[in-house]
Amino acid sequence: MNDSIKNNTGIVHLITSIYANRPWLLAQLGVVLLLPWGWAVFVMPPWVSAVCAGLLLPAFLMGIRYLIAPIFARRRAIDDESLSPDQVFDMRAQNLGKMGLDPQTLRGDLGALHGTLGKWQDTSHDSSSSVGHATQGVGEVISQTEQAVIELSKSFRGITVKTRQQMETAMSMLRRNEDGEDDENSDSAWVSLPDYIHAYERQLQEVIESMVKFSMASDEMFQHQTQMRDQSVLIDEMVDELRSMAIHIGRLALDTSMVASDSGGDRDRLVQLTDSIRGISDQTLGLTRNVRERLETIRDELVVTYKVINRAAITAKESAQRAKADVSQLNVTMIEKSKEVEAALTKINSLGKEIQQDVNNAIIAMQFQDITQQKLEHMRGNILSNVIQNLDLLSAETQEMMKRDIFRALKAETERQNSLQTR
Amino acid sequence: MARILTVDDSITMRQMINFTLSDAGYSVTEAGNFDEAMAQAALSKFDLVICDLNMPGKNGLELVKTLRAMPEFRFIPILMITTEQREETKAAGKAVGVTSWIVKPFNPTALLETLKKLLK
Repeated sequence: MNDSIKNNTGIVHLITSIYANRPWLLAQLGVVLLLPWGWAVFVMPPWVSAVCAGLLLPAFLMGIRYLIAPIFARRRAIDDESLSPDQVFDMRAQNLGKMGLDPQTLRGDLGALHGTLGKWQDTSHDSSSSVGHATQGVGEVISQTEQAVIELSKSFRGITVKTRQQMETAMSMLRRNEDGEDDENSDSAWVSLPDYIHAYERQLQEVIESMVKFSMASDEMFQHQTQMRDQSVLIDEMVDELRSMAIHIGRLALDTSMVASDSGGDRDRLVQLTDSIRGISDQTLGLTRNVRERLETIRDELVVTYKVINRAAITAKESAQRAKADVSQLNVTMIEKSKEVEAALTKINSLGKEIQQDVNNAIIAMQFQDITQQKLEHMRGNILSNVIQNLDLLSAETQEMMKRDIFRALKAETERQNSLQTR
Repeated sequence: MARILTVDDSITMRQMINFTLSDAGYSVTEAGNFDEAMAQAALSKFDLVICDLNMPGKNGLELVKTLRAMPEFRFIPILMITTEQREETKAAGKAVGVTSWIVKPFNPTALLETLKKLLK
């Protein structure tokens, strides 16, 4: 009973299997069995048709049992562990013979397939290991790159800050005071280059003006000195007159003395008076001589002073003229230098803008690096893990496949042949 | 000096933003993810928020949504800086309250101009 149930269950399972794999085979069997019944329906009485229909099902099952089942039984034998490798090969050989294939060739091809599967297993195992190393390597690259970018970013920041300071310092030389260049009372902490040039020019102008004033003062002194010389000539003339008057008084005293000696009486008294007048005259003459000597001394001093003042005035005039010319030349030179400095600073400013542009480009480049890094991380996190999983799965499946009967049989056959050859 | 909160999981990107904004005179505070950003938001007041879209854990859109629910962040500009440039994502950002959208890699000059406009 149990065997019967087992057989029926086996047939149902077999029909299901055949239907799944070869539906056309069942269809062919059905058509073959239905054809006589179809004919009987039209020519035979109904009870004969009913009997035929009743017989169809057992005929169908018998057809499967004895015609189709053996074919599938041989095919299923590869999964049947109770069969020996030799039995498997015999069964295969029967089928192959029917299909026109050489078992020897198939054995060779299967051997090659086995070898390839073995290689594939090894390769997938190695690849899984390599991908694991690659994942680790990518992680290290990401970490090192990130560190490098952070360091680079720090240095980069330092460089740009210093460059900006340098540029601002240079540019401040060209900057005027906030209240304007003419604001002299500004309390600005620094003096710009144009302000410095302006102040220097103003100082030079003041020096020239002072020298011109000094020259004018020396001219005035010269005028006064001329007047003094004129006055000294007048005094000299007056001294001459005083001298002549003293001589004249002396003569008068002498004449008075002679008149007194001739007249007798008060002669003694007149002689005393005359002597006294002569004494005064002598004193006057001495005084006049002294005054003349002093005047000559003063005149000599005046001549020396005149010479010195004249020389100073000439020197001052020449200096003023030279300074004026120098300042003019200096102004031209300073303006030219100032323009050169301005051009240089403008160039520095332009370079600063270019540096800023380079900084922007570097920032964009670093962002590209960061985006690449994030993509690498994504690849490491998802894609490489999936690849490892797939490779491991493939490796496991290959390993399972290689355990199947056909390959075990092949291996046993190979070993058997090897042992035969050894004998 | 405007105070800006920068939220990005990439330290490099945060540094680049920080460098650009600090150089222009802004005060910058950094956060690496949603939680850090919320901690900073609870601690200080900000005039503008810059955030990335794709971050581990809660993303930029969730951050914007959460910030917009806070009274002190309801009206401040929020700028999204991301590699994402699909219109539907931008629309989703706008729906949760993103004020402006800049695609990475950003140009520092363009970023500063955008900030100037947003902070007016």
